[in-house]
Amino acid sequence: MTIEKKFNDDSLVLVLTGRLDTTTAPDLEKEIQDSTRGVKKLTLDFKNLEYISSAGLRVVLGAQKLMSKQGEMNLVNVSDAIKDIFEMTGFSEILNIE
Amino acid sequence: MSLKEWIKWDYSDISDPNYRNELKANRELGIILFLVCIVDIICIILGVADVFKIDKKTELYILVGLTAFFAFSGFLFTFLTKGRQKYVKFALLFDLVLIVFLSNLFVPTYSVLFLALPPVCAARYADKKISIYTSVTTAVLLIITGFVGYYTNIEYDWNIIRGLVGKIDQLTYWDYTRPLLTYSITIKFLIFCIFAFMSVLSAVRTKQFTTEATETIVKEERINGELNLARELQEQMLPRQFPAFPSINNFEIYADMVPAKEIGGDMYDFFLIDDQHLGIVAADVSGKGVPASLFMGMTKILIKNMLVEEKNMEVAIAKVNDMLVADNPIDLFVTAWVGVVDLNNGQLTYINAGHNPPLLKHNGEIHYLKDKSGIALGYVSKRMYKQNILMLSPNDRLFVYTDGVTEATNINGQLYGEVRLKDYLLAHMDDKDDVVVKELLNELNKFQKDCEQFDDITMISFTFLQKMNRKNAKKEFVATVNNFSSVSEFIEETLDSFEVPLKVINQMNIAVEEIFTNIAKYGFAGQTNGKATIDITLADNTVTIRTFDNSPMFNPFNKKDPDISLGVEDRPIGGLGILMVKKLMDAVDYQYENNTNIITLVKKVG
Repeated sequence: MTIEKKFNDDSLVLVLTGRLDTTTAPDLEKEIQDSTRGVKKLTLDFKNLEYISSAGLRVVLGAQKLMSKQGEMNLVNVSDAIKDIFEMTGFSEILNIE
Repeated sequence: MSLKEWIKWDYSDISDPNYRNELKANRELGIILFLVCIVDIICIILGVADVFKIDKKTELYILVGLTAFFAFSGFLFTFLTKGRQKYVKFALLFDLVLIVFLSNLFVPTYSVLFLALPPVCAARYADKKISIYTSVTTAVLLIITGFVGYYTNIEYDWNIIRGLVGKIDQLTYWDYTRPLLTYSITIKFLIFCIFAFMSVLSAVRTKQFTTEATETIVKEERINGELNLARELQEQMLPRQFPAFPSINNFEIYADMVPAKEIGGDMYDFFLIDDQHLGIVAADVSGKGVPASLFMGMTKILIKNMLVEEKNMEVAIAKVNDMLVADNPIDLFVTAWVGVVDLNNGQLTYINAGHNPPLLKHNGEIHYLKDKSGIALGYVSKRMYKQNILMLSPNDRLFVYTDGVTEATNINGQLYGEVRLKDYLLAHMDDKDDVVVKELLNELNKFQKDCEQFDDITMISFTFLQKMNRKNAKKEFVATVNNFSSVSEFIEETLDSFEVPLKVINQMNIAVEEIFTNIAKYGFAGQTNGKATIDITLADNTVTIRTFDNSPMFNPFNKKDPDISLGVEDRPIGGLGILMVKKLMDAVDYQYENNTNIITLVKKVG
C-alpha cells in the first residue's frame, strides 16, 4: 500500500492506494499518528483502495476516535465493496462517508 | 339404551383383567336374574291355568310374585349400575340366595334345582372366597328352610306324607322332622355339598387359568414391543432425509426400504466418503428376525467405516468380509452391492458380493450390471472381491435393489422378475429418482395385491447429473502475521486461475486473513515455527477454503459477536474480524480432529 499525503492548512488528505490489510495497516496507523498533530480535518481518500480487512478497520476506527477529539474525519470515494464491509460491521453508522 | 346394547357393554377401558371379569360376571348374573324372573312369570301363568294341583294357590302366587320381584330388582339394579360398583356382586349374590331361600321355604320339591344356582353363579367370579361364602350361606338356608318347612310348605314331600300315614291326628313336630332329616335335608345337603365343592374348585381353577393367560399376554406384548422397537431402530439406521445432500447438486439420490411383516435384514446406505466420493450400498442378510437385523446393523457400520478408512475398495470389502465371518456364530451371510462414485468425473467403482445385479441407464438404454465380484459376505474368510469400474456419463442412472423387488409374488405365484423391473425403468426413464422409487413401490403393491409381502423391499435410485469439475490447490505456510502477503498471493492466484470473480476473491481473502492472523497471533502466540495449511477447492460453483493448523484447540466462531451499535468511543475492535468472516461467508465451520484445528469457509460463486 502507498499513502499519499496532501496538507492544506490544518486539513490533511491521505490518498490510499492498494490494500489495507494486516500487513499494511500498521503503516497507516503510524502515518496517522505522525501527521495529524494540529490537523482539524482529516480526509481518507479510498479512491484506489482495493481491499480492507479487520486490521484496516481497526486503524480507521482509531483515527476516527483521535479526530473526533481534535476535529473531524471524512472518507471519500469509498467503493461499493468497501461500503459493504462498513455496512456489515456497523462502521457506516460512526464514520462520515461522503 | 337398548337391551342389546346393554348386553354388549364394553369393558375394554378397564385394564385389570380380574376386575374386568368381575364386571362381566355382574352383567351375566343380572341376566340370570332376569331369566329367573321369567321362570316365575311362567309359574304364575301355569298356576292361573290351573296346572298345579295345589290347595294354597294364593300363597303360591304371593311367593312366586315375591321372588319375581326380587329377581327383577336384581336385574334392574345391574342395569342401572352397569355393574360398575365393587358391591354389586355381593348384592346380586345375596339377591339370588334370597330367592332360592324363599323358593325352598315354600316349594322345596319344585325348587330343588334352584339350590345349585348360587354356587354355580358364584363360581363365575373366579374367586375362592366368594364361592365359599355363597355356598355356606345357601347351605345354612337350606337347613333352616328344611326345618321351618313344616310350617311353611305349600306343597308336600310324598316321602314325608307316606311316613305320616296313620298319624295324621296326633302329629308331633318330631314325627315330621325325622323323615325330613333322613330323606330330604340330608340328601339335599349332601348333593348341595358336591355343587359347593365344584363351585370352589371351578373358581380356583378359572382364576389360575386367567392369571396364566394374562401373564402370557403380558409376555407376548413385551416381546412384540421389543420387536417393533427393533424394526424401528432398523429403519432409523437408514438415511431417510431427502434431498440427502442439499448443497451438492451434480447428482440426485432417493432410496426406500419397506420391511416385510416380520423383521428382516435388508438395508441400504449412501454417504459421502470425502468431498468428491459418494458411497452407495444395498445389502440383504440371509434369514429373518432379530438375528438378521442385528447382522444387518453390523454390516452397515462395517461397510461404511471400511470404505471411509480404506481407499482401495477390494481391500475394504475383503476386510468387511473377514470381520463378518469372524463375528458370525450362526452362519448368516449377506449379499451386498457396494459402489463408490467419483463425483468429480463420474467414475463408478463397484463390487457385487452375491447380490442382485443393479440396472444402469445409459444413453437411453437400460441394462443389468451382471458382473459378479464374489460370493456373499460373511461366508468364507480370506476371499478377494474383484472390483469393476465404469464411467458414468451425465444423466446416467443407477438402480440398486434387493430381491424383495424381483421376488415380489402375485396371487398366481408369479414373481415380479427382472424383465418387468427393466421394462418399468425403461418406462420411467425420464422421471426423477424419488418418483421412480415411489411409483415402483405402488406398482409392486398392485402386483402383490392380496398377497402378503414376504421379504423386505429395498431400492436406491441414483442419477449422475454432471461432472463436478472440482478444482483443488493446497499449500503450507509458516504461520506468522507478516507471511500473510504470501497467503494472500496464493489465494488470489489460485482463485483467479479457477476463474472466480474478483469480488469473491476479495471476500475470501478478507476471511482467510482473519483466520490466518488469528492462528499466527493467538494459536501460535507469535512463535515463528507454526505451520498452517490452506486448501482451496472449487466444486459445484462453490469455493471452499480449509485451514489446518496444530496450534491448541480453539474455535473462533464460539465467541459472542461484538455489539456494532455502540458509539465511536465505546466501539470494541475485538471480534470484528470473526463477525466479518461470518457475514462474508455463506457457511463457516470449525472441527478439531487429530490435534488439528480445521476451519472451513464456504462461499457460493455467482
